[in-house]
Amino acid sequence: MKEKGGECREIRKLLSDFYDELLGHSDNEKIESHLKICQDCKQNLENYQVLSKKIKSLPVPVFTDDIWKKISSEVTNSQPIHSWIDVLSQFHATLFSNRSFKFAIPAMVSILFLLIGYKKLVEDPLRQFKKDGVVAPEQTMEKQESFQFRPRVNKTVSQNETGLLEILKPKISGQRVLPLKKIAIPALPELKPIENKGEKAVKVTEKEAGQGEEIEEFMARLDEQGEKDLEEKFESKKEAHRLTVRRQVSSQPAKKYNYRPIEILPDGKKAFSAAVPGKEEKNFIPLATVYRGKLRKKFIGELDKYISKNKLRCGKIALAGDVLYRLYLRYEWAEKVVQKFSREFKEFVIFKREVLKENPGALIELEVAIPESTK
Amino acid sequence: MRDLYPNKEERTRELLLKIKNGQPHFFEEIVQIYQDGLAALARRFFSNQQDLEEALQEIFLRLYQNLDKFRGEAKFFTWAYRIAVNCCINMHNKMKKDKGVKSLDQKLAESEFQLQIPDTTNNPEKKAIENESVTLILQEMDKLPTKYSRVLLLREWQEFSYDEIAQVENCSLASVKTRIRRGRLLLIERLKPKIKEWRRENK
Repeated sequence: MKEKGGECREIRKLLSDFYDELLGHSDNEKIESHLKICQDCKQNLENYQVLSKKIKSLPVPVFTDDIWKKISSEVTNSQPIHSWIDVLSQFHATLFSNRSFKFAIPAMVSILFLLIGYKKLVEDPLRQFKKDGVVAPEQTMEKQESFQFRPRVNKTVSQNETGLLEILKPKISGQRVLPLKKIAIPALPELKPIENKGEKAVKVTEKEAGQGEEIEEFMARLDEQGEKDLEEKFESKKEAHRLTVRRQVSSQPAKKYNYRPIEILPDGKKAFSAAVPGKEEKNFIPLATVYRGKLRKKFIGELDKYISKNKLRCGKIALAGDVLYRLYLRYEWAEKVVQKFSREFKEFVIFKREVLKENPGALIELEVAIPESTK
Repeated sequence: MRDLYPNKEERTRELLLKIKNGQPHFFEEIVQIYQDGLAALARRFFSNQQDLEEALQEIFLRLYQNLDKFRGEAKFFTWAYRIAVNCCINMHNKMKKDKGVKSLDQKLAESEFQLQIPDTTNNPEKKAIENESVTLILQEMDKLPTKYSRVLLLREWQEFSYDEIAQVENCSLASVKTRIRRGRLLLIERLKPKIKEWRRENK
């Protein structure tokens, strides 16, 4: 049985290439002989056929208006611009016929850049501010606003460097223009690795874990805390407000879930499972939890453990970019972490994610789908 | 793909010459020739009718502005495809910024709740959609990362060879293979409940 599973796995890897006739003779023979025995793999191949047939039948997007009509005026009124590359290359050719100006082009380019650089330096609108540290009094409000900086969540800068980085931010209150103030970018909270590694997640019975209301309270509390965090993080309340408003928009259509707590994680926090009524009840395996948008290393660590423990070959998280919905608000880099993670593994197990609608991002559960033939 | 222009490469070169000689209205024919292919590409990025139309206009304008950079070394479609992809990515990012989390919210809502009831009210293909399976496939394709759905579309719909796809997508042959394989696996996994029926129909 084990041998057969292994063979199926191999075949499955090659099946896509086999379907497109990309394989060599020996591989082809191997697969053909296997397909005669194995019904699962044969079905898989049929799936490919069906899929490509269906994609072929997809319609062309239909447009209400003619595209040409809309762009024709712009096209006919303007001649194609001769690109700089064209002009330069022609110039280049003539120069090289003489063979005496070998360095003319690089020299010209460098002079051009120097000129541009000088111009930028002269025109730099912030130069004055940087020099004086004060906004010139004749500066109008309109001009002021164009220099507003948003506090940015710095994703590329390491923790040590964040202290050094400063941004200039003019603060406007009423009609009075305050002098510019230097504000340090708040450092990102540190990622904490799991502390008690040895401890296993504790299974909880439904009685112990409590009912759905309790969980809703819990979620509400998390939300409150989240708001405070936001205000701390972004010193300007305006920014924090903008984010919270966005979040309110995000949790519009509240749909009832049947909460079903499953286990308590090593750090004492609960992980819940949620099933939409009407849907088939599935066995969720909570592999990762993210509370209040704090992404922990656990997220990757737990998955990793689970995979090696069960000797699975896996997996990309389906739609890695989608997972970190609420995290996206605060930490853009979190998306990258998941993507990086998904790149490390190969197929065979596909992760599906479930995000709670009421509090998206607060809890992420992943369901592991293991293909039938490898079970 | 329904190829209405069997000798489109030659025709394109003729048209380009004419445009270069100061007859820009010949660009109309280029729009006609490549509209379907590029619209299908843009559709992978934008599922909203309005956005799609905007994107396509932007793509063709950008093509026109850059026409003189086309050196004729590759096929015109290959070159146009690269520009279109970049254009789409830029526009997509811009919209994401403008709309902020709202668009993500929509995405989430679609993926979570509208699974059972396919909503095709604003689909660009709504006139052409006849059966359920097309709707379903479109829906699932929209949820795939575009790098997979793009490649799948090129392979199955445009019937490109792997080499051509690698050229067009500007990546290696090996990554084309993996993308196609993963794309297929993901799609099949998501269409699992339906695909059995289709298999039976197929027989």
